Amino acid sequence: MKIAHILNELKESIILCNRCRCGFCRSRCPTYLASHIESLGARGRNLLALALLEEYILPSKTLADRFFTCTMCGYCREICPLQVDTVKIVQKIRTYLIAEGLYNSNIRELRENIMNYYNPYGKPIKDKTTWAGSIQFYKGGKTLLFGGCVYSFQDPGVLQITAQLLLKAGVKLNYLPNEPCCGYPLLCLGFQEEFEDIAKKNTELLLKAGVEEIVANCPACVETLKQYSEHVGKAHFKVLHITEYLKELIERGQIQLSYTIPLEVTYHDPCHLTRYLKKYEEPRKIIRSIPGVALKEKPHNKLESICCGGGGGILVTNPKMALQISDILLQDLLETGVSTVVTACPTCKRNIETITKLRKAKMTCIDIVELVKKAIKV
Amino acid sequence: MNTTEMLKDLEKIVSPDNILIDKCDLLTYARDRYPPLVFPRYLKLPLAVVFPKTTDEVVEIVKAANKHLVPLVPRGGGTNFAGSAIPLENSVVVDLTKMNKVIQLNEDALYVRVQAGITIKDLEETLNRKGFTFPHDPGSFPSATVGGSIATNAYGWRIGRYGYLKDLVLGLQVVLPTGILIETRDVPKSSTGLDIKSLFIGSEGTLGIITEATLRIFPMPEKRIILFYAFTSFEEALRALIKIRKKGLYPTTQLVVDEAGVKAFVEEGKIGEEYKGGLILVYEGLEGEVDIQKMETLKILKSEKCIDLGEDAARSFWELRHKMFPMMNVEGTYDNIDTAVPLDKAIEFYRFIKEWIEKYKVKNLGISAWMAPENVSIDMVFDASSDISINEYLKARDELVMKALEMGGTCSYCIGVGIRFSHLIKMEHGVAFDVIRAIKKVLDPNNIMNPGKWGL
Repeated sequence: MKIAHILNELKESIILCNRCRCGFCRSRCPTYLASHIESLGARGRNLLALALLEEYILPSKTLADRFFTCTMCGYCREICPLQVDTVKIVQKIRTYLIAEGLYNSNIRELRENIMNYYNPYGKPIKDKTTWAGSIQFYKGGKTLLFGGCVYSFQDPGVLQITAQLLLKAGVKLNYLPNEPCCGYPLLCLGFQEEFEDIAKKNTELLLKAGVEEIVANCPACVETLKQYSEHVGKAHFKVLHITEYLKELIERGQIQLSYTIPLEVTYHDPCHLTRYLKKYEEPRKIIRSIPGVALKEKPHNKLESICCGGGGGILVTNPKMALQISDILLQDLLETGVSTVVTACPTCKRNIETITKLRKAKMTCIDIVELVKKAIKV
Repeated sequence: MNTTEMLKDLEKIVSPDNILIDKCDLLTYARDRYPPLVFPRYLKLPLAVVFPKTTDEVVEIVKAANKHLVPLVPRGGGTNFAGSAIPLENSVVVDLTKMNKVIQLNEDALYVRVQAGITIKDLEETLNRKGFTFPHDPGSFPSATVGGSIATNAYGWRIGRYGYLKDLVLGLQVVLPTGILIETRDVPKSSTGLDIKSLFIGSEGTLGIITEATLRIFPMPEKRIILFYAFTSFEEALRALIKIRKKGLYPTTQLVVDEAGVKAFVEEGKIGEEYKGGLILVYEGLEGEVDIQKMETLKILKSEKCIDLGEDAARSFWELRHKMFPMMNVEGTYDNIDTAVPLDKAIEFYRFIKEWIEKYKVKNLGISAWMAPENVSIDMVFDASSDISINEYLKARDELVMKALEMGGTCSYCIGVGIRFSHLIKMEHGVAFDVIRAIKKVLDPNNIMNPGKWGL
């Protein structure tokens, strides 16, 4: 596979970055901040991309590390005065590196798990929707609660609360037994063909189930499901994150927040929710609508919020650096002086929990639906 | 030069994860923002990159470099346009960005002590949360470091009220080229002989490595207003700015732009075609102080042939003040020729630039007088894709710069010399360049620090 072919449509952007070199992207790039290594920031990666295109350098183990060690948090793209899409450039170069065989065994295992078991953990697919067992869903309902792999296997309680909240609000909610992975890990790691294959199969499955609207708690699932329409013509589902959905239900009075919770919290913006989907006001509106809850912002919030250290596959490509990034986030959280952090992503929650435990920080992390549940009579 | 022994010594000074030697990594340190070097084929790799975390480590690195006669190239954000941070082959890049701590914030004495590798953005955000500001506001605000800014004697958008960067630096800690550590006293000025710290402000890494700085801070301004007026010409706008300054007003930001500059911020068709110049003024400070300066400014502007471009254009300028330089790269490879001439020659030099644009068919993105009417400079783009086009551009650039020198001006009011004007620095300083050469020789007998810059 030729690099010139893979990067063809991005060549102009790569040259543009190399003309400019403002380095604005370094200011909140998680892998750069954790390492201070130029080639682990977007500006450095784009110089390497141009050197690859010019055949000035050849693919190598270090090069692969510089491109696989990216959380794809989207900050570089957000701040770039030239709107260079380095996330896409990284994704394409990963595809090239995979074709060159330059990827580690963790990545290989992840791919095989998704292709064989339809989830990244290699667990039996039937176990994925155990959480839904005792809940009375609407069979044939057009609104689907898409659980996502991380919530389903690691934090199923959040999905149960979500289902209860939506059903109580009168939503004709359904779920997908044997729900497959959305394909996000394949997409971000550069397995383009495999991702397209999954997107096609999942679209058929969703169409067959009569789904018109999908609501998901995992921001990466939302972003990925939204991308289906780019790859599969007929994937015209409306895809919403739970915070968008809940905000509407609260504003319409379908969910009533009756209890006062005297609690000061801070909110951590998940990368996909804030920078990809631009949903940073919705969760804040939900939090502020809960009686008694006060929101104290951390120094870097909304579009400036730093990654938790769990995006872009970094947990399998460079777990050591993932932890260093979590440490940077922890410093930001601790600056608030608040002991409860709310978030809306299962990976963020898990990473915050891991780092707070490791550093013995007095801080608990809860999912936004868990906070909402405290304020309602179920 | 013993590069093998140098690498061995570096491994003893810093931990292995603070040294880079892979070609991939080295390539990304082979350039800063010097515009002719867009393509990797023009780059030369350094021997290694080292990340000290303490001043002591910097001292040891410098001593090792002297022992093994290996050149050192200090580096901050890598945003310099003059090539000041471009390494020679077999040199070691000293990346200061891991030395990025705020050491002390003294809210009563209004100063902050920082390590040199902190970015201006990180420092400013930290200060803003406490109600203070460090008013150095360069175009490269999000990525430039304090050390890099001081080493290039950089410029910013807010100097009109707060002074030049050299006025904001109270004291410096510097590792000299032989490894001796010096600390200047944290006072704004002294009358005890030469001002040693000023030697390092603008030294571009040739006289040592700045490791810490004490900086003057200010309370956050109570109010800020932005005025943007269109004039019939650049020259009329420049004359209006001179009147404003003669009145004794001191705008925080002052910028005169030509037609291209006006077009960048004003919707097409919103104003008549006769408006071919613009004046942007920002006042900040206490509310009453800002209001009175605005009132006095408007009195002057009332008697000029100019129109108010309104709040949207003014705000758009302020919001884009950092991004506007990067954005110009859409048109080609962006460069800024930051010449300045004595004020009585400013208009004559502006006219020369116009002729120069015609002569060389330059794609002009804006002639401006940035922060002072003397700073008549040009934002432009060129084609950096081939040796021929680069050489043509460099030849044209020299002609413009030499004209500024001939008129008694300077090659660079804010970017620096680096490698771009190393052939012209002697012309600018004349016999006084021997003083620079002598200082360099005394402080850096082995020519370890950033060789090749300034023609040294």
